[in-house]
Amino acid sequence: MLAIREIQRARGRFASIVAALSLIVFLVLVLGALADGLFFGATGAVRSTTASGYVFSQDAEGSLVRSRVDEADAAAVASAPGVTSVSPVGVLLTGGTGPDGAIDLAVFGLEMGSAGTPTTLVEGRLPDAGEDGVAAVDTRLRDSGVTVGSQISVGDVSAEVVGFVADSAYQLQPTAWTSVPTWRAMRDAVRPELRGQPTAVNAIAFTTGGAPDLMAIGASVPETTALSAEQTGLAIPGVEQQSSTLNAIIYTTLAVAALVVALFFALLVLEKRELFAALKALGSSTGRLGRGVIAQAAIASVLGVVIGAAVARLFGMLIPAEVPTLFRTETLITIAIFTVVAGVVGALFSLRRIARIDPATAIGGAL
Amino acid sequence: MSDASSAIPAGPDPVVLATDAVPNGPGETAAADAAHHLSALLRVSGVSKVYGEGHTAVTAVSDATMAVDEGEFVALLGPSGSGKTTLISIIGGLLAPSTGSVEVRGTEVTGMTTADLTRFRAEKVGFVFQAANLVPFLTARENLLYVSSLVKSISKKQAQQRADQLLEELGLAQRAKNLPEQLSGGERQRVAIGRALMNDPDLVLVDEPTAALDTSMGRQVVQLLRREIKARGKTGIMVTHDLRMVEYTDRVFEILDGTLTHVEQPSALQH
Repeated sequence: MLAIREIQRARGRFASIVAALSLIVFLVLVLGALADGLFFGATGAVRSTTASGYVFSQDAEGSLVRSRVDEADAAAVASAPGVTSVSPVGVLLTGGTGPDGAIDLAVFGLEMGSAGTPTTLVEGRLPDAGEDGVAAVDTRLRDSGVTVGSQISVGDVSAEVVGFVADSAYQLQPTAWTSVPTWRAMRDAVRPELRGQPTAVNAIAFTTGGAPDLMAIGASVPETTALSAEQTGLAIPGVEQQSSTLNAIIYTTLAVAALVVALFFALLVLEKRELFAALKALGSSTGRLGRGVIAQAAIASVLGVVIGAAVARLFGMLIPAEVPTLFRTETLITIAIFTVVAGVVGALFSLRRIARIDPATAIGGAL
Repeated sequence: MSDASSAIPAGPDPVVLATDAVPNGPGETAAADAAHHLSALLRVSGVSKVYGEGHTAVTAVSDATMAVDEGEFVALLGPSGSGKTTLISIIGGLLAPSTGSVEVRGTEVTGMTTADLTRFRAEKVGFVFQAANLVPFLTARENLLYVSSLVKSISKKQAQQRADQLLEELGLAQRAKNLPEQLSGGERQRVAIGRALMNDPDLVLVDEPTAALDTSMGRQVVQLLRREIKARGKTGIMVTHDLRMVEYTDRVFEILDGTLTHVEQPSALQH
């Protein structure tokens, strides 16, 4: 009763702590959206597919672009324990042409329907197995004027767009998903030096029933290693570093939130020392007074999260499309929980201060 | 902390010796007076409070023995530094005495755990502080209801009825929804009286209730205090250094330099 009434009747004071927490939540959520935008934009092509993992050449260090294996290795991977489906995967990072001019592209060639096929179709259809000259492309290309039926071309090789897939960018470049022969034709068009390698692909995608036995799968082809799809995403250059840098900033900011709440309530308790002494003399326990302060911190934190999240969402609409941001509910929930915990932990520091208040000081008026 | 030998009301020797140092009044010593009040609600026996140790030790209260009957409204009169604040704090369970014991309705207060003392204060003691010390963000009525939330014995509805009745009696019915900052000093002190009576305590302890008030307002507040305490059959102890306020009390315990000296009739102190 005390805690709630104080918030109601001393609104201005609590508005300041809610505002401070809102700003922190806003900052953290925007940072989180940038972190997620970078991470999801970089790794979509290996997350939003049926692949459980990929087999790379040993020297590739998990990089699809650097890896070189032979199409024929797919058969050996298919016979590894637990593997249910395989496909050779060719990857080409290049520039291409769309209806409105130049576009960035990450062309993925694979056997459609087998391991590595995108799972996030949102419009049209995926190319059929063995169908050449058509592609499903990432929804980001809509901003470049691409629609179903558009032609996109790399060098002198064209493909007709038959569908759109979401969340499938690779290193922030929109992907085009096509057959291995069409991919290879595009590769040969822009990388003439590779024309002499008609069976080379970048990796072998595989799916497994349960958790993949990566050691056994890697051992199925000489001089290769197998990584799970998640590991493949993290192995993309810069992804892990970006994530850890931004996460460090996010968690440092949340620690600051705890400190801000701790200072605010420390001041509030200091200011109410006389009142708390009187209330203790009247028979209020330290626990009861402490619970009130913690309830106030929790309420302030929840309000901060709600306001901060709303402002961050509005701000997100103002961020230009070129800046990769992604507002995810999971990130919001994580940050909300961390903020409320930080607020409560901050308020816990006041408990010792409350415990030290001597009710005897209420008598005599000499504080 | 309680010493068995000093818990027994002291014999004449030490107290008489101690009182030799202060001017003799017409009344008895507090210890001798206590012997007549066998069924007292409050019994203070040989209470001393010493701060510090060795030759830096300061004795705030020395071997205080007194008894107050149920339904009495008494004053604890002394100049500042006389130990009256320390003594009332010990009686109210806010301070632990160095030696001696305090009994309220036969229950030993000395030596209770912190949690038991907190409950004792909530249920058995009503405090009125010098500066009212109301919760600034609660209305007059909510200030009363807050202390009732500290005890389990009373239902919410009963508490509301009781708060309304007290506010009515204290002439604050129209001010029930006002915050303390909207009340005058006298009104605040009246709310504090209502708060002290809210949980139907055995003891009402009042600390210099007129310190922040002018004389006529102070008189009104103390008169009201007396009326409420008497009407409810409560036992009240008022700490004061103001001789003008003792006329509203039944008996006056004088304290000087930490020692209870005499018990007087208020009329004996009028000038």
